[in-house]
Amino acid sequence: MRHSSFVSRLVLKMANVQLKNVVKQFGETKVIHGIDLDIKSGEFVVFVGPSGCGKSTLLRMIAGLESTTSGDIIIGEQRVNDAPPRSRDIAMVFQDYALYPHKSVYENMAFGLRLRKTSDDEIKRRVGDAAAILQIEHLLERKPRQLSGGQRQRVAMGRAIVRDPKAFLFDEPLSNLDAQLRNEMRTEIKKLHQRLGQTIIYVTHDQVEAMTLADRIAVLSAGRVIQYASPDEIYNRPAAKFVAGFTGSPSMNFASATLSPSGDSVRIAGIDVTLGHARHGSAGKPVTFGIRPEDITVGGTIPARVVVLEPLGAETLVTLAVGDAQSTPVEMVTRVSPNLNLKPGEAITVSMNPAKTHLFDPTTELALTQ
Amino acid sequence: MNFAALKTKTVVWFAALIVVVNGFFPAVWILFTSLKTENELLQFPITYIPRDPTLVNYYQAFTEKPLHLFLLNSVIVAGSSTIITVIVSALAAYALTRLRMPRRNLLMGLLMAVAMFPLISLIVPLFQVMRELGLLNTYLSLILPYTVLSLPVCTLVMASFFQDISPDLEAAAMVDGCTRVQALFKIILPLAAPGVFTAAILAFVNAWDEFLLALTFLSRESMRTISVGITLYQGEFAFPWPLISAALIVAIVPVCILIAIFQERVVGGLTAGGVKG
Ligand SMILES: Nc1ncnc2c1ncn2[C@@H]1O[C@H](COP(=O)(O)OP(=O)(O)O)[C@@H](O)[C@H]1O
Ligand SMILES: [Mg+2]
Repeated sequence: MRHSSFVSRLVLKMANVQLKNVVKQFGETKVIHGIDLDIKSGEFVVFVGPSGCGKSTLLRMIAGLESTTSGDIIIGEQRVNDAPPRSRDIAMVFQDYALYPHKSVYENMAFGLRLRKTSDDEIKRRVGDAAAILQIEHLLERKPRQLSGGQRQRVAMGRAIVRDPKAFLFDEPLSNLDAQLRNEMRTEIKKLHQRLGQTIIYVTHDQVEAMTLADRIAVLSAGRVIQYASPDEIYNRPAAKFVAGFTGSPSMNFASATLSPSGDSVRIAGIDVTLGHARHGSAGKPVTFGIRPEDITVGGTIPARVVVLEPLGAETLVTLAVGDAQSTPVEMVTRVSPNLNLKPGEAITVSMNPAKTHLFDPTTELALTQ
Repeated sequence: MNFAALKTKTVVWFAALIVVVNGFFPAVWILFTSLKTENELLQFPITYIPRDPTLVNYYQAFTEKPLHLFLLNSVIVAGSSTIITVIVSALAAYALTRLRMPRRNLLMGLLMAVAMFPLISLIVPLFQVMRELGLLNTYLSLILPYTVLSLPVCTLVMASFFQDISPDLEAAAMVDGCTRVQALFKIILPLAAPGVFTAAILAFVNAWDEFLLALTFLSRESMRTISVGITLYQGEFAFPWPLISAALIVAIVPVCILIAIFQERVVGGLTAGGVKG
């Protein structure tokens, strides 16, 4: 099989990537504040975070396109801080694809191999293999401007694949595509990783991309890694309010609350909400309470009033005003079945799954676990 | 086509016509003069189209003075300074647009200022320098100043083309295996081809046309460039119009050929592969 031999050849070269206390300064401004990350060989890691948090800068530092102010970047077993991009043996896919406009698709893909003095036969074979995997064989003679956005995306990935690099770097590769194509290409990238098993570092500001693609997610904020964990862990055990608020759509509900003296429930807008486990460390203190929309269910003991209904077809988003009559209510969003037939203004009761409640320190915003 | 569009088109065409006539009339007049005999030229009423066109003026132009040498000198001087200018200004433009540089705008401004120095203010110091260096009556005495004089404008022209090219393209090239300089020559320059050719034409025409420095620094007749050489046909009392016209046409032709070739390349570069396949 053509593909399987191609794949087995590729698997040989992948490598792990390590960042040790990596710092980047542009003049006086520090944009990366000492990042430590360990990316295993063959792992799909996503850097996610809001715009301007330093994701691209960090990725470009790994590629060698930005210098590293201090710390170590290690690819395979080599410290590459001082190596130029061409000798780091990585491939990169850019947001605007960065295809060479004056070269055909074939020549775009062959360019890196030609620079490495690969024989013409070998180039032909590798480009052919990659084109087959990406289903762009019929486009090889075209110029980039004759391609659609999705096709350009495939060519950009093909250019990366043929090089058989130690790691792939992606910088927001899907953000120039329309929603439908974006979903399609996302699946395509995941398939590609499952097939080739390469080390991939992928940058995005889109939490859905991060959740669906990653083996592990590094959530960045203002040049720091807030949490580095599996998507499941990020979603279910966020280490900070920032991480909790960044994942899920709609995102987690937050409310100011006070922890009971025993530490096993919180008081929010005059009502008591039971926690999954007690936090004795902050007993009696103010905390930030968090719960995801799907963990609030209709029916129970907590009084609430329906404020707004947003039907999405498969489900309906309901904004609730939660609280007893004497307190200022807190707005929370939940998702319910469309069959429920709620009306705006209706008074209902809800319950909150104790095991899925989260507490955060109101000043440090870090998760309170004990 | 509606009336407004037609009107716009007519105005544009008319304006273009004025420019073309204004530009071509003197050249055509010189061409016709060069094909007339001295007698026909002095006839009254004047003839516009030569009655019996003759090439004798061209023959005379080459025999009376070493016109072929003047041409050769100009080609060497203008050609060398164009090549150096293009290479140096490409590197300078690259640095100005791509490298993180403090006071970039100040530098650009300075370049503009240098480009506006009147030549006459430079001629005496330049002459001193050339004499001290023993470069008078060598090609270098013109190649060096022509290069320096063309550099600012050519740098600015290329910088404006480089600015439109995504920096990610070089990043991609460097990740693919290029050094920074390879990325410039393999990716950026081919994409900026129209800018490179524009700069080349500017540099070449500047050097080809220049008179003052050429007159001052190359005094030996065999070293004269074409712009100075043409004036040598003028006698103390006589002004041989047809002869000078012929020499002028000989001087214009290489530039026309050059521009024609480059223009094709410029347009070719812009449209290559533009046809859907
Ligand atoms: N070349 C540069 N010079 C100065 N500051 C820069 C430069 N590149 C990026 N920055 C700054 O670094 C921060 C991180 O940028 P970037 O890595 O592009 O963010 P992201 O990719 O997460 O949106 C931003 O505040 C940006 O303004
Ligand atoms: Mg970015």
